[in-house]
Amino acid sequence: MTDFDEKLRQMATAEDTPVPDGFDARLADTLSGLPGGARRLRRGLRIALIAACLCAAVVGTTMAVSPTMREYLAKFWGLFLPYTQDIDDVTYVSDGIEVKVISAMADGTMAKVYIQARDLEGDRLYDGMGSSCSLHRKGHPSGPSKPSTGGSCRCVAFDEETGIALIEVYAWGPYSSGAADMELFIGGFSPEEDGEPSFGGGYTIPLQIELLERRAFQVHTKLTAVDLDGTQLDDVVMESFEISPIGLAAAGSSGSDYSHISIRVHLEDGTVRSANFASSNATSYADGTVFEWGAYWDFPEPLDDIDAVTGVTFGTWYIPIYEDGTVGEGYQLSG
Amino acid sequence: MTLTREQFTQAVTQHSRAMFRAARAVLDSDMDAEDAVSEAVLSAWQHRGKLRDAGAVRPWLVKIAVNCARRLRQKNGRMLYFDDLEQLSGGTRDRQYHELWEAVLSLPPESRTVVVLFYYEDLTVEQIAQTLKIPQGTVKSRLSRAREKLRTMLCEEVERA
Repeated sequence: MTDFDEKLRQMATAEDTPVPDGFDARLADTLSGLPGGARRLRRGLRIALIAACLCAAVVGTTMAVSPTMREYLAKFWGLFLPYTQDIDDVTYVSDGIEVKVISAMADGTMAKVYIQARDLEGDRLYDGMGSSCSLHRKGHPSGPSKPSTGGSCRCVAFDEETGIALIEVYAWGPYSSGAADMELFIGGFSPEEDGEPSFGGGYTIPLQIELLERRAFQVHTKLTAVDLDGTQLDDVVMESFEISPIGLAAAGSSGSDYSHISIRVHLEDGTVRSANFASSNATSYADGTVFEWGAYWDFPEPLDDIDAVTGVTFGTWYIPIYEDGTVGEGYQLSG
Repeated sequence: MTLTREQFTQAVTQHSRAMFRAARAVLDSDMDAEDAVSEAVLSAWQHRGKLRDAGAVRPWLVKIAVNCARRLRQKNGRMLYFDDLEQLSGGTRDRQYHELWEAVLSLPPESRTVVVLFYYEDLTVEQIAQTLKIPQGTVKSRLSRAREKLRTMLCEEVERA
């Protein structure tokens, strides 16, 4: 550092840097308009909640579901709202992030839950944050034999007024019939959408989700399916399929690719309902049951009476379903 | 640690001049520099969880401002403003400056940036090289050339100091 350098640094320190007229006001506007403006809790309430939680990772408290979140839920569930169940569970707090599971819907293969989260200690949550959660069966094995269920977790709404985030957790994979004991692992949250979770996670919430009724069929059918547009598909060996009011799941041999198969469900009144391919997965294990390959299709609108289903068309391959719950030999639909 | 909204607002307000200066060193107009600062504020807010040391908030904000300004410069390409015409015509070549900032603005953008980071932000050559992702030797040569120009332009002021 020369004397000249020292003199320049003195000048740099002493001088004011001119900025454009109105710079400070516009900067203030930018700062006040930053996303994720959570309303701070009253100090007394904050201290009470923090004290109640002590230093433990998870402590049960009670928190009402935000009315705004109820409105968001109604919007996201749409026509499927009647098939959801409210989860009136305790609230969990970790690193000052309060989490509550508020709503769920599941059949034997697909499960979706919504949770609301709020920052008790600051403004760390906002609509562009990253969130990491996973939903799976209780006792889900880990290690090499871990079932390869798929899923996603994302913040779908953020209420600026209350600072409450609505997070959707979606899971796909085989689940047991009857009441399902599930576990929701809260991995945590990140300031970046795709960032590693850095706060508010690392614990598991036990969940009891009542599974929707469904009809299951064993088929063991080799489909040399021709899609509706005439495209020849690879052979598919389907072992079983299952229909619920919200979707259709199929399982089969490893290597089968259902993803391009269009699904149509035929009802006894003559109407035909289509389903949209949602996801597929390979080599999933549940209670020792092996689903080597499977796929799931969502119904755009709920199928209110699954007993009214008289057949399903996979591509152009029609499989009739009889009143006694058995399936007949499939055949290629002409035309 | 993650800055709260209040802490973040306070930090940006406190260091807004440094952010503007850093952006203006990269860009050729006050207007673009202000745009870069706005982008930098949003970016810093979204990534505030990455700030590990609250004491390092100023260099962190300045670095983000530099990065946003460089992206804006790349996006806009080299734009010519009326303010540049005097420099290009040689009108400032032998001019004496009384303010350091005024003299810095007459330097080429590459020199302006290293000068601002070195003299205004007290960053080391190594830190500047990391921030601008250029070799330390390049920082030193740019700094050396800028120093000589500033010595000429600020001759009277430095003598007085």
